[in-house]
Amino acid sequence: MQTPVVEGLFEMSGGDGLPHLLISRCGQCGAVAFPARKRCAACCGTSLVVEEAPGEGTVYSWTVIRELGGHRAEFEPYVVAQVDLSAGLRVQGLVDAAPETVAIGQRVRTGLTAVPNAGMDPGVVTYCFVPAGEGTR
Amino acid sequence: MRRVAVVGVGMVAFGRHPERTLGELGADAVTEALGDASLGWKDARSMFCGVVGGGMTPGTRVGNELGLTGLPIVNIDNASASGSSAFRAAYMDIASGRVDVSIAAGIGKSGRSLGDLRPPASHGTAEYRANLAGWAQGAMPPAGVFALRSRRRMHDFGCTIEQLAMVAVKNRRHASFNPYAQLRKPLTVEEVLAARMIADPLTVPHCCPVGDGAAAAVLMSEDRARALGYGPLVTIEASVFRTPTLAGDTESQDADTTRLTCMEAYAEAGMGPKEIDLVQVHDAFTVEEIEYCESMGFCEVGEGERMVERGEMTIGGKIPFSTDGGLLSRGHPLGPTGLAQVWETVLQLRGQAGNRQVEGARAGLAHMVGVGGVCVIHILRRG
Repeated sequence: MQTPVVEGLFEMSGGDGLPHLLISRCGQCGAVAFPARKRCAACCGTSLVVEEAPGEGTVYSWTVIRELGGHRAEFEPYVVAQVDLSAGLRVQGLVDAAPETVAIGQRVRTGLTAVPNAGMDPGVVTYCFVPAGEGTR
Repeated sequence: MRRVAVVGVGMVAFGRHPERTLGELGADAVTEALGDASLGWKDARSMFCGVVGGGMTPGTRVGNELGLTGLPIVNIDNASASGSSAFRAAYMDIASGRVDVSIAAGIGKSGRSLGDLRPPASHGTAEYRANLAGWAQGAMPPAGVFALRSRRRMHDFGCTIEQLAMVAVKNRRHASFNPYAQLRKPLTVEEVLAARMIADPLTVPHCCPVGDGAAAAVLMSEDRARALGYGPLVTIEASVFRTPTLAGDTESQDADTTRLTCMEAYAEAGMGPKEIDLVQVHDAFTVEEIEYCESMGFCEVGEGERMVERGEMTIGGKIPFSTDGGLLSRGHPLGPTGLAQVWETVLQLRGQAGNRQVEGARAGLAHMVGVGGVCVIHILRRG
C-alpha cells in the first residue's frame, strides 16, 4: 500500500497509468506553474484552475546531492533533475536511476519513489522521474 | 533626495568567533567603523542591522552593548542580502533628510539559520506540509541549485569545470592579501577538482564557507561630510533593490534580476560598465560570478568563463571581481557579507587596500542576491 507524502502535489495514477503532477493554469494569461498556485505569478490573476500534467518530459539539468545541512554520515545520496514537461513548464524532482545513466536532453517519464533521508515509512512515496521506457521500482 | 557619503567602515575578520556573542561582534565592527569616521556612538541617529536568524532584535543587542542612546534600531533579514539591505536603509534614512548620521551593521554566526536534515515533526501545520512538499520535489541545498546551473551552463556554452574552478582559485588568491578573509591558503585548480564532492559537479571549494563575523559602515549626508572635511570622500551614486519578475530572458532568475537591478543602478549613477573599476559580487558559488559578470554587462552571455580564464577579473585585469576574496574565500556569514563588500569597496576607492589595491580605482559596484528573490546593488564613487 503506497500513500503520497503530501496531498495536492501529484496524483498517484493519471489517465495513462503514470503519476501526474498537479499544475495550475491561469484563466487570465494562461501561465502554468508547479506546485499549483492560488494567484498567478505572471499576471497576479486569481482565476487559476488545477489540472494534471502528463508525465513526460526532458532532462534540463541534474545533480547528485551528497550532503545536506552538514549531514554526511549515513546520508543516502540522491539524484535530482530539472525536467521540462511536455505541458510547457520546468519542474524539479527526484530521479530514480543511477547517476551515470542520467544526461541532459534525456527523455524521462514520471514514477514513484520513497523520500530519501527523511526517515519515513517506505510505503510513503513521492513522484520522481525515470528514463523513458523503464519500469517503476 | 540628498546625496550620501560613507565616512567610516569597520569589520571583524570572518571565521570562527565562539567567544563573542552576536551583539559583541556587532559592537566591535560598529566601534571600528565609528573610529574610522572619527565619530562616537552618540553621534549615530539610527542604525539598521542585517542579520539572518539570531533570535529577537539582535541588532538592538549590538546597541545595548554600546550604550542606551535611544536611537531607532531596525533589524533586517533578507537572506544573503541582509547587510546590503541594511546599507540601503541607512542610505534612505539620510537621503530622505530625516537624519545626518546613520549606521549600517551586519552580524552573523553560522549554524543559526541552517535547517535540520529531516522535516520538522510538527505534523498537521501548514509549515509542515510546505516543508514536506519541498522534500517531495527533492530536498535542495543551495549547492544543489548551483550545481544544476553549473551543469547546464557547461552544456550550453561548453564551459568546463576547470574554468569554474578558476573563479575559486582567483578569489582565494585575492583573499591571501586580505587579513580579514576567512580562507587565505592558496588553492590550485587541481585541488578544487580533487576536493570532496558536495553536489555534482561542485566540490567544496566551488562553494562559500559558513562562518562568523560582523561588518559596519557609517553613513553621513554628503554636505555635512564635506563641511567636516572628510577625504578622500566616498559617495553613494546608486542604491537599487529589486525582487524577481517573470520577464527574464535567460534561464537563471538570479541573473535576470541582477541584470534588471544593474540597469537601474547604472541609470541612477549616470554610469555604465565602462566607468566601473572593480566589482564585489555574490559569488556564493563559482558559476555565479561568471553569470553575474555577464548580467552586469561586462561581457556577452556565454563569455564569462573566458574572462576569468584570461585573467581579466583578477586584480590588475580589465575589471577585477571579488578583490577581497569574495564570498568564496573572504567568507559569507550571511548578515554582514554585504557590508564586507562596502568595507572593501571603500578601502579600494580611498586607495587603502594595501597589496590588493586596484590602481586608480574611482568607482566600485557591490552586488548581493538573496534566497527567495532579493537583489541589491550599490555603486560607490571616490568624489
